[in-house]
Amino acid sequence: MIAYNRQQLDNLEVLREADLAFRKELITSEELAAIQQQHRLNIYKPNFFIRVGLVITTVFIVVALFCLVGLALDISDESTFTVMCFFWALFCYVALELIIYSRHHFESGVDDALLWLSGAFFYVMILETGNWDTDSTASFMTLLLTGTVLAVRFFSAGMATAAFIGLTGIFYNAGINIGAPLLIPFTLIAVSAGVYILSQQALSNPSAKYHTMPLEMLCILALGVAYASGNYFMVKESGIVADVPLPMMIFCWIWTIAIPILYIYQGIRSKDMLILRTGLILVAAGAFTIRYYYEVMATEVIMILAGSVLILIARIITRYLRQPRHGFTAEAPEDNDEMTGNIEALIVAETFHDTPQKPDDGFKFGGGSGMGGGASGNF
Amino acid sequence: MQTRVFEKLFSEGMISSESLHRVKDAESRRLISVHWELNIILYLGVLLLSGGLGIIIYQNIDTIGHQAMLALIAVLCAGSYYYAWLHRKPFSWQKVPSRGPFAEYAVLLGCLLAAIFISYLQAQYDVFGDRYGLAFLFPMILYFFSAYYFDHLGALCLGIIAFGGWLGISIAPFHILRDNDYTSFRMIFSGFLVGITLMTAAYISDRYERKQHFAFTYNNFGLHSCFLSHIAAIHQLGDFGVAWLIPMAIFCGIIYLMARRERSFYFMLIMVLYAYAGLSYVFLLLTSRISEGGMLYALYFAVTAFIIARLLIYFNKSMRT
Repeated sequence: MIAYNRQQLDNLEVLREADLAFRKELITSEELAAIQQQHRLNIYKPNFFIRVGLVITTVFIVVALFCLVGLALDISDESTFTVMCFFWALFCYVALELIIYSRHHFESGVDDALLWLSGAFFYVMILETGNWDTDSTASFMTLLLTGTVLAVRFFSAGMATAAFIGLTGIFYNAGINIGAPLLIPFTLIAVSAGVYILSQQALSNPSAKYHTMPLEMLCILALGVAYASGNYFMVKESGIVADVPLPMMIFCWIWTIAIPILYIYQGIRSKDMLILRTGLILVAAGAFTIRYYYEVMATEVIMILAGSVLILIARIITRYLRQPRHGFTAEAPEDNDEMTGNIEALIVAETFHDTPQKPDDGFKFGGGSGMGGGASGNF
Repeated sequence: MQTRVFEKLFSEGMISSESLHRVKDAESRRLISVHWELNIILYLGVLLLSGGLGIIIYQNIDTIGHQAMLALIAVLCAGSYYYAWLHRKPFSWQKVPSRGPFAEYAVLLGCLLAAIFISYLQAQYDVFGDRYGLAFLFPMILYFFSAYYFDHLGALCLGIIAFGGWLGISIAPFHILRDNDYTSFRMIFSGFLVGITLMTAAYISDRYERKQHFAFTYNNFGLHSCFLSHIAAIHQLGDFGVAWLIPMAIFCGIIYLMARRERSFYFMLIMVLYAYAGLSYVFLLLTSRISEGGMLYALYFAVTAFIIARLLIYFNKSMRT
């Protein structure tokens, strides 16, 4: 069912775990050496940055070849284009299977790019054949089926995302077509809940251990879409109904506010970082929704209040977790590498940098985005 | 860690039962870290607070009075630095372990407030007159001092950006392309000057072990500044752009050696991509004279992208061993 060699994937997992255990001094160096001796790897898995480079070059090669043949065959003819898309989807897919089978590529960048290109060419071909729009049910069906097959075979989180978009799209269109727009939020909530429960069950099943990434992706998407479906802003502004009836409005407001809190509570209780983090992000979404409809205070007052409250919350939790409690700690995780620190510093510099400006730029304060530089003038 | 992996290893006789117990014990006592979550909450808090304060000050400038405003900013700034100073670790030229997120953000807030203070002075009282450079110079000195004294990467980035601003270019990550007018030779020259200075600073940090861990940040900013100036120079020189490939090739060679020595795949990738962009630009420029050839371009990109891919694969192999 999966394209990659199971034995090799198992070996990779064992080596990673053994390496981690050795660094924590849980196993001896003799044991590590014996494990390494016993679990040989022959997969091709280059460094992350080389992977990025290989994604770029692979896309270049495939697209350039497409243009080359397209120009020779007169691509402006629609049926030529469709047939070419079919052959390129096939060509990419065969190449993908081949490099995995004979060259043992795994997360090498080449396989990532070929997987995406193959899926994309196939999707475009289907749309061209039936002259369907991207938001038609046929398009969503294609996404769902192709995405599922590819996500299962190559355990790609991106393909799982495509499949999930397809699934929700089908139900959305169905709601519009049967003329019951107010059912759409509830249907999508039910579908997301179903996907979440199934993914959670699959995650705890050892036979799905290779598919952790797409399954976790599905969980995040399901949590997000379940919230968005009942969020007042989404229901009102998506234009599915001209006027939101009062009971629906009450439901939406409760949903908008309660769900993030519920997620956080559930995340802390079950020590599930995935749902906890989603909840934290959705608190912001809920706050923006309220802010959009009710001008309780001026923006800057809210910014100051919210900023102070956030700093205070961080302070309280840090104090509280000075000694680890309930399995949580405020200390940095063990696998914290230097790169994260560098990225953090860059983000901080990007959003905060506030260099003095020339008077004619207007005089602005604050650390928000878009206030930077002012340095393009002559000196 | 996955205990099932170690149970399997134990059943295969690869690890002793003590090791298995140690792993299981460690796994049962494993803590979930909310370090990054707290950091992000704190980051958003500081961002919102400083942004909100900025707007309020801006809106009420007429009613509050300038001296009062300046005094308030100065007090807050001093307060931030005082907090950071209270929680500092002894100075060292080596990496100093973190004093916790609050002290880190106090340094940052101090830096930002100092910059606001100077902007205010310049905007309201025009203290530096037309010498805008000075308005960059003072914060820059403060940023670098904070970066070295408190061992703060964020302050270092701010300092580097202010240094770029002082010399007239914008080198903040998302501004480097948007804000700079790369069609002027003055800008290109400044880009080189900033880039080479930063890379020299990186070399010195590394070679003389003065905050060795700052070298990456210096190199990162310096490299992008230099490479963008190279590309801009090729573009601006028109027909003579071909000749500029020679200095660019020499520069790439230096970066190649540096990336090899530091085993930095990141610098290697950046070098390869910029070099490819420069070469491709010259190729398109030259061939646009002789043919309209869309097919020629397609062929060019198919062949060269394949060569670049092989090159990357080769680098990956040779740098690992």
